[in-house]
Formats: sequence, structure tokens, C-alpha cells
Amino acid sequence: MTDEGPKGAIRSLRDLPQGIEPSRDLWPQIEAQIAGRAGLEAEASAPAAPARRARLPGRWLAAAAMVGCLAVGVWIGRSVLPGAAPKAPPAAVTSGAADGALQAAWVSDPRYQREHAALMRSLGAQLAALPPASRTKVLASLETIHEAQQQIEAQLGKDPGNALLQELLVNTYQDEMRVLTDVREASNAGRGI
Amino acid sequence: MQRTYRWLAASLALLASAAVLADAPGTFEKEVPAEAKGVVEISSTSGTIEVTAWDKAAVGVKAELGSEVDHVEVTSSGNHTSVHVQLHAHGIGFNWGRDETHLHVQVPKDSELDVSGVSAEVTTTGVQGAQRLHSVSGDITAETGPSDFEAKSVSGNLKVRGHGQPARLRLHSVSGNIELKHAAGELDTSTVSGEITAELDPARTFHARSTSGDITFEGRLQRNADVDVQSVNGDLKVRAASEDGFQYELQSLSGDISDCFNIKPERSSEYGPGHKLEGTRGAGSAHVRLKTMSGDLELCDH
Amino acid sequence: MKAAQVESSRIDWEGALVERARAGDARAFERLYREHAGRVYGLCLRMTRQPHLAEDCTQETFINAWRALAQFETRSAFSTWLHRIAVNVTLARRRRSARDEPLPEVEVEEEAIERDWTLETPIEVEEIENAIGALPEGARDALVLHALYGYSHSEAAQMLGLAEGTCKAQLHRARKLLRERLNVEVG
Repeated sequence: MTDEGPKGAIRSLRDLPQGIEPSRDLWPQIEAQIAGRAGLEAEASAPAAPARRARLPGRWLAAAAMVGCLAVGVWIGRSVLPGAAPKAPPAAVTSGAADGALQAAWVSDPRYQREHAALMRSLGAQLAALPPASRTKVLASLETIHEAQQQIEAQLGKDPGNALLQELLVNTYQDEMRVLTDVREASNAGRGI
Repeated sequence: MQRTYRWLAASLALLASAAVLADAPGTFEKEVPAEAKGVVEISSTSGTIEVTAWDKAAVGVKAELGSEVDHVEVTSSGNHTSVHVQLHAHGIGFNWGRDETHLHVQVPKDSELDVSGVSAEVTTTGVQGAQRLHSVSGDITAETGPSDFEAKSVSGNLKVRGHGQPARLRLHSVSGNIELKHAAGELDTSTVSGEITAELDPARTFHARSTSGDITFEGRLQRNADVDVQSVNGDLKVRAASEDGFQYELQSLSGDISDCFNIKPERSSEYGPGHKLEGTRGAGSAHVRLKTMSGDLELCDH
Repeated sequence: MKAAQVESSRIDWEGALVERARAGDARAFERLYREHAGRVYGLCLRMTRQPHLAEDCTQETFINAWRALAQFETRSAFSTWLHRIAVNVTLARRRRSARDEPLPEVEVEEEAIERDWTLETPIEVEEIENAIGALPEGARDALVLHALYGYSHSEAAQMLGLAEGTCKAQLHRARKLLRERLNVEVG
């Protein structure tokens, strides 16, 4: 962060270092503000969330159900859409996280709900458009993600405030959306060609 | 008698159309002028798509066509050239013994390349411009230049080689393995169950995710570089070096954490499971974060 | 890699980070923060002369930048855009807590305005920083933006919400006061 400014005497004001390092890392508070705002904005526009995620009966090809959302503001950015889980928040989560570094915000995101439901409704037809080998692998991958979510949720049940698990859980929702979106793109590619 | 003639006429018509279609399975060759830094878009369903760079201001197409191919469309307009392999809308059931199409396209080396295949294997060599390579189930093997590069596959493997020129790279496969060698710059990569192996020298960012696949990264980190690797169950192994040092943070709920710096991990919390390892090497300019639920973590010097 | 290529490459990276941050990638924004925080803090500190206030201004700058990313035009430099925000934040804080100081009546020698701010003899960094810190706010603001951060008269004037002539007058005043304080000629 700091320029390699000269020490000692200088001959010009332009030789003064432009960068000066603050005495502490300011990022955690910035991060908390921008994450908190992202969560509040989503929450402000969200309809009331179902109390618990309606889980498909173990199989992705079953009829789509409305899925609620889980959002941890810091990790939303890299997904196609923000991911948020519709669970009731574990008691410890909404208390202030240590060091102001991570704030887990459990919100419902209507865009995620709509997009996820749409992808699930068309998943069967899209999978049918894929080569058989790909279809099998996609189903296996979705099952891998589903199992990972169950494992993480089981651990979160024992340790609800665990930031690592929360982050990894959000990742799995994002990964699921990425897979569903890739399947949609892939099936469109097949039809287009 | 009339019925016989009608039958004969129909048969002759069928044979005539078959004769026309008999041209489709076979070879195809065409060359069109193209701008040196134009966009080249290629699509084919199955078989292979091989793209090589050349110094001519033209796009050259050679193909061995499968039986399902209706025609190959090569068009050039302005700075945009398209090569599309069109299949029959309804197959007529004739099998000429060649079901796959092998497409070889030569493009100006600074072209911007957009390749799309379903089960086609995609290969690119020598292209210096931006590349966007998508295949549903085919493998993608490519060389990158100093330009943006994206390769995506649903179930295919990705094997990419750089030449040490910094670029922005995105490699994603749902279930395939991902391998990147001799690259530099920024890499964003993910797979659900495949394995990721990557080298970046120098590395500006390395962001990798998997659900169950292992991730291995070796890199020489630039100042302020950012390495963020996460997996639910996969093992994560990072070998990093940086002249300006790096800060590191390793967290695993139930996996083992090891490093080459003789620092022991500590419990993440007094009452809950999990271990973490945090520290700083050198001036701590870059950041390295490894996180997993059950995978093992290893961090060493490069 | 040659300097021009390095600079071009750096701007490309930054453009990529800005795009990702615009899409909501907080990690990418953190990278931008780490790249620019020192200069932003340095600017805020020199304008406010209070480390705690400068930290607040720096945080507010980045928070405002995050919210306004959609308005950033990628053709211009991200650092310039950040500095504009930082100056606005600092001036707004100052307006909330203090009266405006009257602008100086100074005769501006047009031909003498373009300076390289060299010192007749070398001076310790700390002494110079203290001398800059002791300048009246208006003169200090103009000096920091023009002499330290390299903004042109018109850019500095725009950032400070001043007419260019007024900004030049403040610079002239800054030079005169520094000369008196440091007891050396300031070129």
C-alpha cells in the first residue's frame, strides 16, 4: 500500500510519498459496511421467506420447489446470481461476528428464487438435450453438491456460528446455480448447432 | 401400372436426393479473407474442432464431414467470420461410415476466437487473441496468448498451456479435470468433482473452487496477489513464493493442516471443531486463503 | 516487460477488477482497496491533518466508491476517480465542522505558476510535512493535489470546487508560506 518514498531529506515536494499506510487495516470495516448494505438492500425488496428450504425429495429431476436463499454478502459476488438460503437463521449467526470481519446475513433474494425455480423447471428437458455421458455426469455432480450441502448443514447444526461452514455452504448454492446455468447454456448450444 | 410408375418415380426422387446429399459426407475446403484482429466464430456438434494460427489475413477451413452434416457455412462480413457445421434437420438414416466431423480451421493469430461444440473435442494452437471455448462433453486443449481466455465444459477435461504471458483466464468444468501450465496473471477456475492443477508465474490472482475435487496450485505471487482456494471435501495444496511475502490463512473443519514453516495449527474456537493456521511470510504483501470442510490443507514454499 | 507495457497491463488488470467489483465481487473490490488505500489515506491525512479523521474519510471514500461503481467510466483512471471521492468526502466533513476560511487576495504571476516545486536545499521529509500541515486549508488542499499528487490546475480546481484562477492563487499562497516557513526558495 505504501509508496517506496524517500527517507531523510528531499529536494522537491514531488518526492514526498503519495501513499501513507494507515495505522490499522481499514478493510474489515469497509467490508462490513458494503456487505451489510448488500444484505439490507436484498432484504428490503424480498418477500417473506419460507421458514425452511423445501428440499426436493433427494432427486434433482423431481418437480421443482421454491427454494429460499442464503446470503453472505462478502461471497455473493462471484456467482451468477446472489445465493441465499431460506432457512431460519441459527441463533448465533445474527449476533455480531468477531472482529467485524464477517457478517452472515440470512436474507431471501427474489431474483435467486425466480431464477432457480425457472432453471429447475426446465432441467429435465435441458438434460435430455445433452449427450448421454454428459447427462450422467451432470446428475452425478448435482448429487455431489447436494451431499456436500447435507454434510455442511449437519455440521452447522452442531456449530451454527461457524463462519467457515457458512461460507462453504454459500459456495455450494453458487456452485449449484453455476451447474444449472451451464446445463442451460449447453442445451441451448446443442439446439443452436 | 400407374401405381408402379408412382413407386418408380418416388424411388428415383429418393435416389436423386440421396445423390445430392452424398456430397455432404466427404471433404470440404474453403478460404475467406479475414481481418488480422477480427472475430472468428466456429461451431460444430461432434467430432473435433482444431484451430491453428497462421500469418495470413484469411480464415481457412478444411473438414472431413460426418454423415449427419447437411452443409458447412463459412461467411465473412466486416471483421467477423463464421464457420458453422449445420446438421440435417431430420436424418435420412444413411450411414456412410463417417459419423464424426473433423474440422480444421486456420485463423489469423491475433483473432478473437469463439468456439462452441457439443461433444466435439476442441484444440487451439498459437492463437494470441482472446479465446472463448465452450464444449459440452468434449475435452478442450488450448494454448493461451496474452489475452483474455475462457474455457468451459460440462463434462470435458480442460488442458491449457500458457507461455508465461500475463492474461485473465477463466476455466470451468462441472465434472472434468482442469490443468493449467506455464501461465501467468489471473485465474478463476472451478469444478464440482474434477481435479484442478494450476501453475501461475507470476500470479496476480488465483481463485479456485471445487466441491469434492482436489486442487493443487504452484505460483510465484506478485505483490498484493490474492490466492483464494475453497473446497468442501477436496484436498488443497499450494506452493507459493513471493518476493514481497504473503499472509496466509488456512482453515479446515476436520481435515489435516500442514505447512513447511514448522507452525502448528491451532483450534478455530475453544468449543467447536476445526483448526486454523495463520501467519505471515516476509513482508506479507500477498494473501493466501485455503478453506475446506473435510479436506486436507498443505501450504509450502514454491 | 517494458514500462509502457507494464502500465498498460496494470490498467487492464484494474479494469478487470473494476468490472468484477461492479458485478458485486467484494473480493475484487478488496484488491482495489489494497492497491489504492495508501494513496487515498495519504491524501485524506494531508488534507485533514488528523489520522483518526483521515481513517474515517478513507473508509467513507471506499464505501462511497463501492456504491457508485456503476458510474465509473473505465476509460479514466480509477485512482483519479477515487481521489475525487476522497476530496469530496474530506471537504464535506470539513464543512460540517468548520467555517469557510476567506479566500486570499493574492496577485497571481501567471508566468510563474508552472512549477516543479523543487527546494533550494534538501529538507527533511518530516519538516516539509509539518510545514504543509501548517498551511491554511485552502492553500494546503491545492498544494497537496497539485504538487504532491500531480493533478493539473484545472483538475485540482475541479476537485476542490474552485475556479482555476482561485486554485492558482491558493498555490501561489502555499508557495509563499512554505518559503517563509522553511526559509528556502521553493521553485
